Amino acid sequence: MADPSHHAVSHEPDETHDDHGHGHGAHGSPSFETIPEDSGADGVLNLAAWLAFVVLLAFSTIMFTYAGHAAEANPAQPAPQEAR
Amino acid sequence: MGASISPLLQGAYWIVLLPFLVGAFIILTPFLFPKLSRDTRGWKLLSMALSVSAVGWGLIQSVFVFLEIAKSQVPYVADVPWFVSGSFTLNMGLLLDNLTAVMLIVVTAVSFLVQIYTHAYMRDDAGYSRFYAYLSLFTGSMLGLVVATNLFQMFFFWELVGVCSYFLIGFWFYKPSAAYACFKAFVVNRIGDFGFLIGILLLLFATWGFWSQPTNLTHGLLSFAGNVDIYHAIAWARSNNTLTVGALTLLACLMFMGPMAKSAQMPLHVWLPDAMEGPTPISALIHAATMVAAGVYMVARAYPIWLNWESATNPVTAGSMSLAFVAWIGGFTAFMAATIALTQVDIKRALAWSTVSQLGYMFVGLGVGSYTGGMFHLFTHAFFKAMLFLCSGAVIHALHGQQDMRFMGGLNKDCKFTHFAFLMGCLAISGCPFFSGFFSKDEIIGSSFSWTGPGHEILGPLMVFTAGMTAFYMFRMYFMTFWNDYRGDVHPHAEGKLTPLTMPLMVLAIPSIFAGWLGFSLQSFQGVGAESPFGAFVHWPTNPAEAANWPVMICSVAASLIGFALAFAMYKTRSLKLNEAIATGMPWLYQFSFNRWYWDDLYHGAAEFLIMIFRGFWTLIDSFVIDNVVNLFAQIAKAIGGLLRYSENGRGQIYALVIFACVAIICVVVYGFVPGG
Repeated sequence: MADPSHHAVSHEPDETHDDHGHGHGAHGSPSFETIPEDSGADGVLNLAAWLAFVVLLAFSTIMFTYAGHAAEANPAQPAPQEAR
Repeated sequence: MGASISPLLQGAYWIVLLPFLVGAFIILTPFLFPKLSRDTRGWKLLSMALSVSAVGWGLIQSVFVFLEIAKSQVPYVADVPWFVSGSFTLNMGLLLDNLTAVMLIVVTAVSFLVQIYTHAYMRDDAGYSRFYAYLSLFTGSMLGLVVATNLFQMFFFWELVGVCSYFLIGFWFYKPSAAYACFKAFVVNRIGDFGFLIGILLLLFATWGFWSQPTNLTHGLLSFAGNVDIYHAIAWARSNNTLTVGALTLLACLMFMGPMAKSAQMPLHVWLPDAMEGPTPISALIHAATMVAAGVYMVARAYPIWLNWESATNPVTAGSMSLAFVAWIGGFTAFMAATIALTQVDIKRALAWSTVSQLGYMFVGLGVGSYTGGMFHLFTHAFFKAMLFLCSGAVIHALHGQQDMRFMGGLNKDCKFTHFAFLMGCLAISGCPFFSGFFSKDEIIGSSFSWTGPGHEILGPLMVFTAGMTAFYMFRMYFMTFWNDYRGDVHPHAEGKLTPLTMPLMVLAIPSIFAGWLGFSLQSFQGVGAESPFGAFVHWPTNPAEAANWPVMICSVAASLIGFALAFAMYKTRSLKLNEAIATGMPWLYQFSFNRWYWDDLYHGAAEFLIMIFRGFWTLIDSFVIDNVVNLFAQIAKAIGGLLRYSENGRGQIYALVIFACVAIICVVVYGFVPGG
């Protein structure tokens, strides 16, 4: 098989790639309701993602702030200079 | 500790418990109130809100836990008896120390962002609520594993994350490929877990004398906590000669079968690429960022088991054969998976092979004694790999389910947020200077060069070469997906503004770019052994504080640059036709990579061979033993019948004679030889 990476795309059906993706089981279920983009949840979740960013920032700040303290409390054995 | 313990630490069990409760609630409610909850929009939104809130609360609480641990530098342990039978005491509880605190942040942060993304990705799926239930159960299980106070609790949650993984790989269970993939993952993981459990039990038996002393059972058997942990148990066993170095090496290697399966290391790696049959958020959370790293975490948490215990009082990493085993399994897996990723055309599977390769790097770090390096790579990799997978999901979403990179291209215009995040992820994983992967991978590669274990002359260069391949296959994916002309036949869905599908990518891009600086130390770069902020928190006590190894760093960056340049020339400008030359000139080499080193074929062949042997054996048994036994009984019946037929001939005299003879025999038997006597 020649490298098909950027030329001569084969359109032959491939059983391993025919039905991947998201949500393919949804359709056809008579009692199933999808969630529209204007439900209000999207905006709240976007804000929540920013919250995660703030929390990660807080974590990094704590790590930098207390690194020296941690190093004193749990000293690592210094490596011999000749090993450099 | 008593009164001085912060309520924040005392209430930390909610981090684990809340996702479990939410998961159970989402699963059980439809059974209890079917009309209220099944398939309605409100129920779905409630499932999502509860699930996201539970892990969001866990994230916030984890930061406070980290703050408390960072301030006090005292591990917090709280456990309760789980199973008690005489002196056999298993505990379950929380162990919060530096390592745990960092892992809590990683798991809750990635899970939180993935759950936000899930809303956008799965909004059209009938199983939306079920998916959130599984996500919550998985998150609870993973957090339970992270805070485990002993090896038995860890094994318990280890199996729970495995079950959740099984459910989620087979989420679209009506697809034969997904059903097969989850079955395969389950079977392969059971093989690894069998070795893991045997190793745990062997360790327990070898150190039983230590645990049989009631004062050592404060935190139960095989504890990680305080002075009654596996470190002291092994030291006791070595001092009392109940455990030899050889036996410890054997049980460490057996235990390592667990991580080999869970973290997809050769030869138990075959399940992970197939696990991409699950929805993409699962690929990001479970099969890239968290669960697959559980094996690395387990080795780090139970690190004393892998040390060189020649000296019972001063165990060291140097000279440990079990650590050498870990390093070489990791090193070879990293190399092998990178060679496979070079030719894959499915965007998720290519990323899965890169995950296998990067997990190999983490094991190399732990194996060569760079405890901090291995764990730091776990930390940075969790963010950038989760982001890369979420990017692949966004691309698949834009292309209405297409995963084959041969049908992509030119998506940098339609998917601008995804394009930016994917590029950041590529730079991070390739070890581009000052991106997160650069710091973590460099620490591992540098340590592999200063390692003195068996084959140390090869391991370092192999890791540098693999770093070059990493840059090549990642930028191959990047250029095939986002540059040149679009090769598909469906119109891509353009990204307009930041949505829950793209917002998590942007948030994860930030640690992917900057998290590496947590592993930076100016002194180290000036050639003095010094610890970085991350290293100050997460290190093995006898680990030396490493100075930066400039020649190795330059070689590693040069290898990555070469990999990038080759990918650019082959897949962006297409001025270099090396890929086509190899595919046509050395098709066996291309096929070897494309067919994943034929591991699956090898296993299928081996299974078929075993079945053939089994079948042949039982054919022989059937033909020569069972058939002959059955025939023997038939012959006996035939012979008896042949004799009896002389008495059953229809002549009254003969019947009378037989009756008379029988009566005579009965008389003889009952009354003896003298009638009336």
